[in-house]
Amino acid sequence: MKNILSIVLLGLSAFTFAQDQMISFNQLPQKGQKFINTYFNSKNVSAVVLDKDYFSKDYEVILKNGTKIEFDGSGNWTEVDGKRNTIPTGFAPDKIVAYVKKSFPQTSIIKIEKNKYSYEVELSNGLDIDFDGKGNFVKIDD
Amino acid sequence: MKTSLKNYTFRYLTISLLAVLAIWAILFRSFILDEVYDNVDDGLKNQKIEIIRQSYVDPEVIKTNKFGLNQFRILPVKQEEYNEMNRLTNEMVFMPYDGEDEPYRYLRTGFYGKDGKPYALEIRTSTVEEDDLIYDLSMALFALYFFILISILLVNHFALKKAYQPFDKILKQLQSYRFGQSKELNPIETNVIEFELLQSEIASMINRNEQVFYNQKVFIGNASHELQTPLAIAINKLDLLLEQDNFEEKDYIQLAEAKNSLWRMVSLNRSLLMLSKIENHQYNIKEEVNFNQLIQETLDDYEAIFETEEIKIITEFNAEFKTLFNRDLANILISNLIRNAIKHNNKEKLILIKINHENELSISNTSDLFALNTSEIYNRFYKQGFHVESNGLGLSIVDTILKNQETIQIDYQYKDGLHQFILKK
Repeated sequence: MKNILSIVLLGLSAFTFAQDQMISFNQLPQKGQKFINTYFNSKNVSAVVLDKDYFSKDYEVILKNGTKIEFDGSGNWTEVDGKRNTIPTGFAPDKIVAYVKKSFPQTSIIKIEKNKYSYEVELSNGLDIDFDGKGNFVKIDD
Repeated sequence: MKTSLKNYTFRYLTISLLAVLAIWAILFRSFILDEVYDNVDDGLKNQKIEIIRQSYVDPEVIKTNKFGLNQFRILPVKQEEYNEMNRLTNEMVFMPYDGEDEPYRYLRTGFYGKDGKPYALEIRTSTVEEDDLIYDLSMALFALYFFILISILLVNHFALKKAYQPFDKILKQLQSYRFGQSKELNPIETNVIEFELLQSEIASMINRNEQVFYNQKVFIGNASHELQTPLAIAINKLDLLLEQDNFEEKDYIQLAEAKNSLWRMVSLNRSLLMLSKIENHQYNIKEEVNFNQLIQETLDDYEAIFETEEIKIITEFNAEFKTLFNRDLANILISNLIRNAIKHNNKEKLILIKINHENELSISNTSDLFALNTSEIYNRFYKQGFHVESNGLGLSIVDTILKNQETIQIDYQYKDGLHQFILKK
């Protein structure tokens, strides 16, 4: 499975522009690799893409189950998108996890976006919630 | 339609105020409704969160597929129809309490249930009756509109009236001003720049006019005076010529007619001179004059003429007409009136002089002419009828005398075929 997927993606990458480029897991910055190993499993990685812009570099890791993890140029995670599936939340601020557990019992987090001074969290029920940089609840985005 | 200045601006105010309030009303209504709906919407959105949260805890919640006790319902949908966006609308719903359709606010959105399946969520709540709100707002604004208008009317009436007092006074002064009066106008105190300016300009204008008038008077006086001498000389020369006897009949006639014309000029000149003197207040001394006596004396003087012309004089003195007057002018006054009556008489040749009571004296005559034009007869050189002989100054002199002396007024009437000139105290 992994091999077929790799071949397909390699084939695709031949048609992509210089901006999007397939790389190997080891070419991911150390921080990124560590992140994946800690909260996910490097064995579950199906593709790693380098997205080069005039201004910045981004990395995308796609898992076998479809989950997408984005990193910035230094390997810090910026987004974890479960594509409607629950994601692990170990890396998220405790406050956020605690809030979701309290306010929305039985509801899981399916996506977390990390911005410079805030977090955006999407729940399994479809609601989006904004938190500040420290994980304090700001509002429900409607 | 002419209205007072105070009320003139009122009509513009009425219209513009209406426009301003109308615009304000529209803006205010939008503003208020925005606020109302904002609040309602916030409530609905909050409810949405509560419902979703609860649905994960209590599995029964997701089965609410009718708007029952809780004004919401959840319906399963297909993934293609799933829409997470909040859509807010106003709809009419039948309300048993009022027995009619009432406005409601609907929030339609979507969420994923605990089972991971997509659902559509509808929440509703009763909202403001927009119509009623608009109606109330309109009533309140109408009341405000009329209240403001009435206030303005009151302000106009009381405050402006006071503010315009100086202006009114200036107007009154103007109304009572008569050319040639040379009475000083009393200056009126005012703080308004325009009124002050108006006053000073009017005063200047009056001064200029009076100056012109004065100069004209002086000129006429001087001119008449100067004319006397050459006229006298011309008549003298003609007299000398007439004394000679080496002319033919027709020549004498020509010379006599020339002399007549010159005499007429002399008479005219004298009248003008007298008018000038009267206007210059050279006949200021007044005394108590008994007009009954005066008339009798004048009639005696004219006796010869009455006989020659076969004029009938009827006098009816039922009272004594006495007043303060300058004696010389009184003489001229009565003479002129009687001469006028003689000159403009017809075949009947009747002159009637009546004093009915102590305040009224009338001199009437029969005539071929119809009623005279009261506004024109006292004008200088206005000739009644076609008398080439008259110089047209007789009544003008009467008018000037009376204006100067101020104790008697004259009135004209055409009644019973008689031209009546009535002197009143």
